Amino acid sequence: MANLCKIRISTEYFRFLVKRNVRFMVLSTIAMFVLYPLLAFTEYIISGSYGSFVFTMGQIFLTILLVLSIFIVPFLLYSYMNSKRNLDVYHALPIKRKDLFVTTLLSGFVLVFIPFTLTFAAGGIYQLLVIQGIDWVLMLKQYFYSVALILAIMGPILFAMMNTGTGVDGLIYGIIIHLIPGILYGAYLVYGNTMLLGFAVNDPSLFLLYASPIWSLFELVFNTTREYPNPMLIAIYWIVIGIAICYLNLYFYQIRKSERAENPFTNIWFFPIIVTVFTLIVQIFFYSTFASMNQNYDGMLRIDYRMLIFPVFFTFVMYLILDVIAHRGFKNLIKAMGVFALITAVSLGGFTISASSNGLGYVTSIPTSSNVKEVELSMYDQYGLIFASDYRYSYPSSQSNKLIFKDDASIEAIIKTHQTILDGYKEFNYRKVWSSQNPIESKYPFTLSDEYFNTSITIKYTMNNGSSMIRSYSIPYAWTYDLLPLVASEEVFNQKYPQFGRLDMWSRYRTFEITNTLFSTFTDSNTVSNDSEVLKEVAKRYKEDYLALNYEEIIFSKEPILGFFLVEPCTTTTNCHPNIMPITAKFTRTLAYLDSINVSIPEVTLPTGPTTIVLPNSNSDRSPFFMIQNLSGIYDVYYRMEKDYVSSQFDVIDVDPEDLMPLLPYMMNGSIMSSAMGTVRIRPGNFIMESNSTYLFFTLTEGAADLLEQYKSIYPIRRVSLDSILWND
Amino acid sequence: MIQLTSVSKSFDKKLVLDHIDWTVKKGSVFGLVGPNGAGKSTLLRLISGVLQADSGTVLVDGDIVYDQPHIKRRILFLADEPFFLHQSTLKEMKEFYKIFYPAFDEAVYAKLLNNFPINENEKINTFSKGMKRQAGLILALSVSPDVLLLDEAFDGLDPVMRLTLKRFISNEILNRDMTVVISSHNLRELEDICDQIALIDHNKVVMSGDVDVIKGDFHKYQIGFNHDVENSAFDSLKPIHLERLGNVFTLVCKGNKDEVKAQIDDLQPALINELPLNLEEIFVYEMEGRGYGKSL
Repeated sequence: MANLCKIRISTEYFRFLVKRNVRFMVLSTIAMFVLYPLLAFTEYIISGSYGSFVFTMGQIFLTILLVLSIFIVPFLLYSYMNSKRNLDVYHALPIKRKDLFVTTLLSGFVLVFIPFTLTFAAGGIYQLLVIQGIDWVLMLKQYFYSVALILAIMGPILFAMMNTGTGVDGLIYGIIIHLIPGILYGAYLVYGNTMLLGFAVNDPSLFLLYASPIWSLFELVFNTTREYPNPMLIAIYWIVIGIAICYLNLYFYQIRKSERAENPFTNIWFFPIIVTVFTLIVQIFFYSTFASMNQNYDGMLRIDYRMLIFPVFFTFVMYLILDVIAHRGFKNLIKAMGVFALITAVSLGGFTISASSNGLGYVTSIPTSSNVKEVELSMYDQYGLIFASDYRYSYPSSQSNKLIFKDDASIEAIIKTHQTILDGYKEFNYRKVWSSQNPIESKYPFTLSDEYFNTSITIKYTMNNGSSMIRSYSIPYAWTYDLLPLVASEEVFNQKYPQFGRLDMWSRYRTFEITNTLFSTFTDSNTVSNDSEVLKEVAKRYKEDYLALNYEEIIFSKEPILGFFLVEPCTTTTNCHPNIMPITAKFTRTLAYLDSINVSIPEVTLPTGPTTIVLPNSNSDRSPFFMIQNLSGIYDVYYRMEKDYVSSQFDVIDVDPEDLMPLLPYMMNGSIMSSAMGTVRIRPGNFIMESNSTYLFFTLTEGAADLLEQYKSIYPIRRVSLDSILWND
Repeated sequence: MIQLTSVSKSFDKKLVLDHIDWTVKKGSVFGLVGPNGAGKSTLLRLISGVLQADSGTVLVDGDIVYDQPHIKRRILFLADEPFFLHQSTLKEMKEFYKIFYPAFDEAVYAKLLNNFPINENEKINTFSKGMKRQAGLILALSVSPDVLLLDEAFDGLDPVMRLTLKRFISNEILNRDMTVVISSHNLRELEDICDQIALIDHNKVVMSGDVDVIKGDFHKYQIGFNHDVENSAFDSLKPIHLERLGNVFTLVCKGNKDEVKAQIDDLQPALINELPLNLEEIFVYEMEGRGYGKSL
């Protein structure tokens, strides 16, 4: 590295090179102008207005031309290396080789930089003038990213030129080197997705962001919504990598043998290494691609070798073409065939070993809880037991569908579930395609109507040593039973009730009220307090009460609902997120505090009209609705999905308001109750539901059985459809 | 002074120069001759710093040349095919050379330009082969190097231009003590301009020295006999060339002239004529003696 400090730029030669290549700069500037600002102007002439889309398109074209010019410039300036005659002059010049290399490189950078900067500035200013609300800081960042990656993109092309002796070879291998990260990652993804059960990557483009400068350039410039990782750091990373590659190129330039110019390769190791690596990667990519086409592969062997014939032939032809180009003829053909056979043996052997050993243990490995620092869990939770229902994902972005667990009990529960999943798949020889036709033994002590259907789950372990392990599965819902203890965790509480769990999210609270079970009129709710300290205390105590319960007391609770908190916090003036939180007798700390500040649950006011109760069907003694998850509308109403229920009519009765009162002690919400006697449907009075539901639903515990029998004899039974129950009467 | 000490150079596995020891005195004009592929151009490339020796040292005035700009600034190497930047004019090439050679002499450039029918603003790629070579020589001489290395530099020049250049080089040597090394196959030309000469063969300098001394070391005689004489009669002379036509022999010998003459006299020839021998003939006979081209 000390050599770098001794480098002296020949300013005169630098100026000479730039001056000599002014024509190139003029041409590339014109091309860039035509495709960026002029394109927008053309759009204006045609349509009479400006659209940001055409500017974005222009920027894409500009970036493509930038990459193109980065490819051209090395061949423009370093082409003398490919001629012995030219080298005689250049290397006889009284300038140190490293100074010559760096001066030429610097002028190459300028040849790319000036046209791009002129066009970007012109297009950017034009855009700022004609389009409202343009983020000029973002534009400056985009400019910085583009310039930052010039050296990193130029580096691999120069590297190819340093190791080859002709322009054609330099170009071919410059392209190949740039393609390698993409094909490698493609092969990795296709192989993983095809062959490895549980295969998942944290961020699909993260590898390429760090491995492919061209990918990174487009990602940084155009994927402006990316939050992770920091684009500025990535750009700096590429500046460092660019300088490092150029330093490597400087080394190769200095040891490059002049006498080997005009030969295909000046470094005898370059072709074997690059082409072997490239062929191996392409083979793995095609093996995986073709293996994935065979959906009927046997669970034990997992590879149908007939599917690999074409990939082998394809790569054979590719290898021979590269070899013939490299050796300028067929004289090396026999040797090439031998080398290819060796490469193929290695790739096929590796592929077979990997497949037969379940990815060398990738599929079956599970970490031990003592090694795990935290686990990030995400899943499609149809019943909202752990993850709140879909509609809640409209919460601010910090409220994602991922939960991070750090406590030992939760980590154990997740690892146990992971083991359950692997045990389940083991019966199917770890085949990636799980057949819903196969019987699954459910651990749930009740019937979940969807338990045979697939749900997706992703588990990401972060180990104590900082490494991570991520697995993703499509599994029957029944296999998630061991996750239920998580329901009683703080993470789930915060996710389920962010209004109380994540006080830091909200700038203000629009509503903070308490209501009775029915809250059927405006008078049924009381404002708890406008004092934020009171709200904090209530939230704290409510959370403590919740966390004092075990998961069975939450999921299978038979405690009657005493009332609800109606809470509507906001992140901004208009962005508010209401929720209803049930209060039962188990919430002792909360109730005590409310009592201490003289806030009570208002008395129930009976509804003015009749209330509909859904009864068990004639062929059952249980309600078809087994769980009302959150009282917040139809998205949280779960009913058995058997075809008979969905398509058939339901028995309902409409009871008078005074007959609703005796049922109050048996009205439940927020828990699974497979033994529910019926379902009460109430039209709410004063609260706009976030899901815009017309009704609220409660399940009735077994205690209501006698009353229901009595009502059935008093009130006429109507037959109505499911839609009528859920949406309108 | 150019000094090569035990210099070896191989290309891949092919040995091109094998432990060369060779010295060129300052102010001399050294001719470099040898069969094709003998390593003449490689030797010039080593002296100019284009190539690095695998072993041994290449010094110019006591300094290593390779990758040393301060020495290379005083050396100019004109390859057998002169290089010009793509689509360049002679004027642009002048600017190119001026960047690297501060001693570039505009007056010399102008003077040479006047002597050659070349338009400095014309694209060089439109020039004929001879004109390109002229352009190369104009640039090389304008650089005013202390060491001028010319690889087949006069090939392709017409006789008038060759003479002009030779005169110019001779003047430069006289005025500036310039050292010139010229490799060529045209030995007649080398004979005109060079005061020293070296022969490279089989990766080594097999003969090196003053032209007159070398010429004085080779002798060509035509000898006639009245009686039959076997070829073996000349074995003691170790002729490097022997021809026979009846009883008339033509032989080329190497060594002290008086000793050779005395040995021939001992054979009692009826006729003895000493024939003139030029450098080209010496080169041909010497190479024949080394087996080069004999099979044809």
